[in-house]
Amino acid sequence: MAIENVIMMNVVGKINYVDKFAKDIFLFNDIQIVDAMQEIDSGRFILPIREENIGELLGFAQLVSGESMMDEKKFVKTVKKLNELYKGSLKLDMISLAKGDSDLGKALSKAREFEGNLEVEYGQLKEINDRIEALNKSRAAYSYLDELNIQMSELDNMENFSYSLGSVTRDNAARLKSIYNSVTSIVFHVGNQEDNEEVFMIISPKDLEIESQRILKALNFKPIEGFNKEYTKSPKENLQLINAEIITLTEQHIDLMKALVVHLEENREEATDSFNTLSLYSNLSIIKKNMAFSENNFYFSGWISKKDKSRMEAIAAKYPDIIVMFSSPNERGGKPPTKMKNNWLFRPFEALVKMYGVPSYNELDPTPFLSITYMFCFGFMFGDVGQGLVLALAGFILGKKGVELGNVLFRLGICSTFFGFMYGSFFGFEEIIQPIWVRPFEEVNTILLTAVFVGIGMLFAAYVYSIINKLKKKEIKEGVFGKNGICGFILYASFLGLVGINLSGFGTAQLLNPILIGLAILMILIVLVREPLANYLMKHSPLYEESASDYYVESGFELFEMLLAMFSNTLSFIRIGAFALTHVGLFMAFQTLSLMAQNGIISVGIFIFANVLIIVLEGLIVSIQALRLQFYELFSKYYTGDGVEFKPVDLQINLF
Amino acid sequence: MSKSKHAAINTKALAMKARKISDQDYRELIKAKDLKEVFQYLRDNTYYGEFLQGLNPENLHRTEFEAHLNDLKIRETEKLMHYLLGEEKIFFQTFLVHLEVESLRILIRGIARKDDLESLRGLLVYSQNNSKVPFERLMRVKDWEEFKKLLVDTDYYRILEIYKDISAEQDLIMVEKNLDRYYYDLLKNRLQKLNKKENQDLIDAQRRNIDLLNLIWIYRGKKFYDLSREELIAYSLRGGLEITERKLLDLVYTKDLVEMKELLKNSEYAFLFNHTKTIDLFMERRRERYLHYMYLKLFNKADSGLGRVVAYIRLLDFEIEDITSIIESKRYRMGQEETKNYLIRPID
Repeated sequence: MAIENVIMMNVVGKINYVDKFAKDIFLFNDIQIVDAMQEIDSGRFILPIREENIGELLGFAQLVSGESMMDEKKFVKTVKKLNELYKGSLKLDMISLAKGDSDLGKALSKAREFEGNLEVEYGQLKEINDRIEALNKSRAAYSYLDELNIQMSELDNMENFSYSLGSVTRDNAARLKSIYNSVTSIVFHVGNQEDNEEVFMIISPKDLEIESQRILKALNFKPIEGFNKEYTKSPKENLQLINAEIITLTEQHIDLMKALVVHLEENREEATDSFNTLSLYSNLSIIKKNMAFSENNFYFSGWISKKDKSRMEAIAAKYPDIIVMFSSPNERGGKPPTKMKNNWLFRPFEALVKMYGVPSYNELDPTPFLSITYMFCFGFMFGDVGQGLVLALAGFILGKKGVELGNVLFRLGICSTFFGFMYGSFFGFEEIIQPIWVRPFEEVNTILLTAVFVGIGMLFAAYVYSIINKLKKKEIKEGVFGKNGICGFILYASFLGLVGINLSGFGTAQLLNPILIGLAILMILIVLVREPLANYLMKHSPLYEESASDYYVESGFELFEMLLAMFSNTLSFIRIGAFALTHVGLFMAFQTLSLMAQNGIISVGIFIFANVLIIVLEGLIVSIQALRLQFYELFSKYYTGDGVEFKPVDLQINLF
Repeated sequence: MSKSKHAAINTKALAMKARKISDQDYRELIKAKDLKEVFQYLRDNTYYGEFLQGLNPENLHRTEFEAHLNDLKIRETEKLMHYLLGEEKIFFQTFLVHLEVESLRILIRGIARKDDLESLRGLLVYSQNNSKVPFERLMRVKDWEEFKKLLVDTDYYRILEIYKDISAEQDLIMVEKNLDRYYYDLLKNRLQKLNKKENQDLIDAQRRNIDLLNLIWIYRGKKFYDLSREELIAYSLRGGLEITERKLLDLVYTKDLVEMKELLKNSEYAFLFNHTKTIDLFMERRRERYLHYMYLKLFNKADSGLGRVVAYIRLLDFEIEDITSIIESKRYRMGQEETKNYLIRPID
C-alpha cells in the first residue's frame, strides 16, 4: 500500500572509479547507505563463488573500513569558510554537479588560490582587530588612573618601587582591607569592574616584592593588562592618544571590509564552483566512509526502493567489471528500513505517525487512515467557516516556512471550513449562513449519535487493519483468535448487533438474539484459550509458554479488560460530538457577555477576543483530543510502529 | 503563614530522617569484621542499599564505595530542592556546589600528580542536573591549561586562571584553600539573602561552623605551614559569629600557639584546644561533633525557616562521613573502642 518495498544493493567495483561511482550514488540520492564493513562482518554481503570473482573474493581477506581512510574534515572546513564569507548565500547546485565533470584537485587548488587572495585582506583585518583589542585593554587599564596627575614614565621608572594594578573579588577585597595596615605595600582602591570585582593599585618596595606578591596571590589578585611603557604621558593624555588611534583603526577596518565585499562579489562565480565541488567531495567521502576497501576493489551496501532497481542497474552498467547484487529483506534477514510513500494530501500526516513510531517494514502504513479520520474528527469538532480559514491560512504560511506541522494545520483548517458550511457557522455567528446539515445545538442527540457511529466505523477499520497486520506477520494466535483479531472483531460486531436489535425494537429481528449471544460466548471462549488453540493448530509444543494456571489467570483478566475496552473505546468517540457542542457553547457564552456589555466597541472587542481564544485554545484542545483518539483508541489496537525510518543520502549527510 | 511555608518540606525531612541509620546500626557496622561485611550490612539493612546494588562485594574499592554513598546525598538534596523556590532554592543548591568543589579538588590533585584522570571517575560525586562543570570532558584533558580552559564558563576559572602551574605542592595547597574559600564565601553570601527572622538559628549555626574552620586554619597555618600573617588572613573565612574580624586579627598576631590557646581559653570554642595529646588528631572530629549536636538541636526545633532541612542534610553528611571512617577503620584493623573515637556521632 503506502509502504514501498526496499531491497538491499551490494556492489563490488574497481577502486579506480570509486569516486565517480560515489558521485552517482550521491546524485541518485534516494538510497540509504549502510556500513559495508558491518554487512560483510555479519555475513550478509555474499558474493557468488565463481572464477571471475576470485579477485573480489580474495579482497575480503584484507578489507579496510573506509572510516579509517576518509577524512572529509578539511573539505568541510573550506566549505564552511566559503559559506561564512558569503553569509550562507551559496547553494548546492545539484544540476550543474550532475552535468560537470568536477575535478577535486582543480577545485581544491582553486579554493586555495581564492583563500590565498583573501588571506592578505583577512590578515590585515585580523591585525587591525588585534590591535584594537589591545588598545581597548589599555584604555580600560589607564582609565582606572585617569584622575592621577602624574606622568606614567615617572611611575614606570621608579627606582625602588614597583606598581601594579589588579582586581580581586569583593570578598577578597574585604580581606585585603583588613590587612591594609600590616601589608608591606601601599594599597589604593581605584575602581570597580562590572563583574563584581574591585580594582586596586599596589605600590610596593622592590626589596619586598616577593613577599607582596605572595600575599596578592593568596588573595587571588589578577593583574590588569594593557599598561605599556610607550605611553609616557599622564593617564588622561594617554587615553586621548589611545582613543585617537582606535578611531583611525576603526575607519581602516570599515574600508577594508568594503574592499573585501567587492572582492567577494567579483569572485562569486568561482567561489560557487569551489563550494559545489568541495561540498560534493565532502559528501562523497562520507559515502566512502561507509564503504570497505581492499587493494583493488571497493565494497558498497545500501537500501534502495525496489522500483529503482532498473535505474540503478543502468548506472552500474557504465562501469567495467562491476558486480551488483540485489537481495530482498526476506532472503537477507534483519530489519529493513521503512520507506513511506503517500500522496500530496496524506504526506504531512506522516509526521504525526512518526511521533508514535515509524511503521515496521511488514506493517500497513496507517497514514492514509489516520489522515482521513483525523481530518474528519477535527472538522467535526471544530466546524467553522471563518475560524477554519484562519487556521488554513496560518497553516499555509507555516508550511511555506518549512514547518511540517503547518501543512497538517492547513488541511485541518480546510476540513474545519467544510464542516462550518455543514453547521452554518461563520466566526461563531449562526445567522450569516444556512446550515447544509444541522445546527449542533439544536439537535444534540443527532450530533452525539453520529459521533458514536463514526467511532464504530473507525473501530471497524482499526480491526481490519489489525487483522491484516497480524496475519502479515503470521501471528495466528493474535490475528485470528486474539482480542484485536478476527475473533475480537466478531465479538464486537455481535455485541453491536445485540444492542442495535434490542434498542431499535425490530420485533422479528429479536429472533436473532440467541444466535448472537451464542456467537459472543463462543468468541469469548476462543479468546480465552487462544494460546493453546493456536499452538495446537500450528502443531507447536508445548501448548502453554508458562504454566497453564498462570496463563488462565492472566488471560481471564485480559478478557475482562477487553470487554471493558470495547465498551469504553466506543463511548470514547462521544467526545467528537461533545466537542462540536462545546465549540458552539463557548461562543454562545461570549455572545451573552457582549450583550451584557451594551457597548458597541466592547462587544466587538469581546467577539475578537472570543474568536482568538477559540482558535488558539480550543483549536489546540481539539487537535490533541483527535490525536488522542488516534493514538490511544485506534493505534493501540492495530499498530506497533517499531520500524526504522528510511533515510536517503541527503537526509543522512548534513554538512552544516 | 510563615510556619506553613515550609510545612511540606519539613514533614518530608522528618520522614527522611526516620529512615536514617540508628545507633544500633552503627554498633553492627563497627562490629563488622571487614570491608565486605560493612558493605553487606549496609546493602541489606539500610536505605543505602539501593545505591550499592551495582557494586560487587568480592571486588570492592574503598573509595568507590564511598562515592556511592554520596550519590544518596545528591539524590536527597535534589529531592528536597523541589520544595523550594527563589533564594531558598539557590541557598540549598550550595550543598551540591560543595560536592562539585570536592570533585574538582580530586581532579586537580590528579593533574598535579600526573595521574590518569579517567581512573578517578569512580571518586567524583556531583549532581549532573545542577552542575555547569563539564566533568566528562575534564577527565580527558591533557594538561593544566586545557583543564582551565574548559572551566571558562564557570566561577572556577577566575580562581584557577592566575595559577600557571600547579605541580608544586605549595601551589596545590593554595589552590585547594582557594576553592574552599570560594565555597564558604558563596555559602556566606547566600546565607545573607535568607530571611533573617525565620532562619536565625540556621544562620548562627553556619556562622559557628565558619568560626571553627577559621580557628583550625589559623592553628594549623601557624603550626604546619610557613605562612605570613597576611596570608593567614587572606585564606581565612569571613562571616563568623564569635570570632569577629578583630578577634581574627588578634589570633593571627599571637606570637605562638600557647598564646593563641590562652586567648581562647574562656571562649565557647575552648574545647578544641583544652586537651593534652590529641589536639591535632581529633580537632576535625571535635568540630564536627560540636556541629552534630548543634544540628540535632536545630532539627528538632523545627523553626519556620529552613533550619530543619539544612540540619537534615548536614546530619546526613556526618553519617556518610562516619560510615567512611568505619570503612577506614577496617583497613587499619582498629579495635571497636578505638573506632568509636573517630566517629562524629557519639556511640557508647
